[in-house]
Amino acid sequence: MKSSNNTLPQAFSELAVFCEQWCLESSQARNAARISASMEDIRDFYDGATLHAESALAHLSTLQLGELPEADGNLLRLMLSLAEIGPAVEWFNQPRVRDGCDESHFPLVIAIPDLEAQGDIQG
Amino acid sequence: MPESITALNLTAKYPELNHEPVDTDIYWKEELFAEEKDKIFSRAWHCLGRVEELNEVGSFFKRKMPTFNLSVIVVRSSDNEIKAFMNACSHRGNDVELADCGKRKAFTCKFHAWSYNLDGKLVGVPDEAGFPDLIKSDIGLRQFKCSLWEGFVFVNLSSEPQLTLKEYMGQQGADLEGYPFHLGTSKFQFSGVIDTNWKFLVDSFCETYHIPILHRRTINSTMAGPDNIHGRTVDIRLKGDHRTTSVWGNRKYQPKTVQGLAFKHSPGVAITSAGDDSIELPKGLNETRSPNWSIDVCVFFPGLVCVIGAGMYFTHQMWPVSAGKTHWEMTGYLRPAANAAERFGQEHTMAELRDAVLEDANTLERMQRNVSTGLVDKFYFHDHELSLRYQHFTVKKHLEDS
Repeated sequence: MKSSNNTLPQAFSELAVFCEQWCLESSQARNAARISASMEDIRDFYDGATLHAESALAHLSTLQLGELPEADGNLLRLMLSLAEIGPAVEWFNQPRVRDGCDESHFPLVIAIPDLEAQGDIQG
Repeated sequence: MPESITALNLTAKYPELNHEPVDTDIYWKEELFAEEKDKIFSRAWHCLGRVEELNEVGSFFKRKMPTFNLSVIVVRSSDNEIKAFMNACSHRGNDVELADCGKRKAFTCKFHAWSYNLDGKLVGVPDEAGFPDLIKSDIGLRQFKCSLWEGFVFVNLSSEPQLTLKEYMGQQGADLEGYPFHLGTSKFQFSGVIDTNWKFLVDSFCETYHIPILHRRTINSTMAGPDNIHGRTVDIRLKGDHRTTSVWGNRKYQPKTVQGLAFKHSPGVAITSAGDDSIELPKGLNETRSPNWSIDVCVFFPGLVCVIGAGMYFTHQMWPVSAGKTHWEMTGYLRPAANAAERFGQEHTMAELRDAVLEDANTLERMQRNVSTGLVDKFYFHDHELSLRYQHFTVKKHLEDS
């Protein structure tokens, strides 16, 4: 599922080109996007996003979950997609785990919420 | 070999063990699984969750125990105790609770609305006059023995467990007490059914001999690598039926770009970064206090594997349903994100962990297929596969019990 609005904070507007494919609303959606993407798409996103990731994370480190303005929430979700596709580039050089069990055999059934404040365990 | 690499003499420390090959019957024969279920799983304490999930009176969670085909409700009762009940109505056996978790004043069956209070007592029967001989106070949800260790909720299905939970956790449990398990409140879970014996699943997390080969693209560089080319472990300790494998960590590892950002923005230590010296560990974690330590893999026999690092931990719970089929749950417990950037570190930890265990999972179904032919009748365990040899030894010991 795609996020409803793809606005990013002004300083990170160059990343807007990636929102359509990578600004997604759950861990499960990000893994599904990774395994259905081409390696070219993943590399384009990796190269583009890592250029800005250090400053994006520095910016996000000043903000609290549970109270993110929409644009900052979108930026965080792009960064979460970068976390998801990191191993595709840095470990496997292909979208899926190389010689791995199919993801569908071991799905994520409880995810950490993307944007909610944390502290209490979610049963 | 560098000084930090452990020598080959671990098995010799335990005179009840030897270096002989072992037979493979217990990994595939259904009649032996039936015995395991009876003599091992039916008697064991089973971990169902964390006490932080039950913060208030009436908070509950529901869990499946696939080995026994059971659904169990765990609730904080009116007297503030944690209690466990079979999720089955006394009237005619329907589930009384359909939600996975939440907060209730009473559990009411959606079939005929028989209702039970938080202590499991039957308190409501519609048109009760239709049951002229019913004595409500004699009827309730079936209760299971329930106890806590370091905030983990355990149940035992025996009416008279052979061991208390404290006795069951034993020395290995005592040596882990004090670890801040309660801080791991940001939880994620993967769950699936794998066509493999439960012992193969446990084994895949208990030896590091496979890391340079199977995980050559992934965690080899952090848990083995050029200074530890054969993937030697730091140490293995056998304690009662339980055992701990201390895993080596490459302190010289230079992370790749996204990994490095995740290590920097992680609540607690990310799983593939080597240990953080600033955290005081309980005696039982990295017991030899090796500077090249990453995580400990603590198995509580039979099916609970706690993988514990300085800043996060996760558990594997194995629920065998046949000799060749196991329900596998992997639950991560991360420290809460102190800011929005730390959510990124959490996601990366989750993704790397999943990808590395998907590498492990592929071997499990292949091994099961081959061993089930009866033609692979021996296994050879490396000295640093001691934890696997001990599992084999311990299972055999229990099967010989009457």
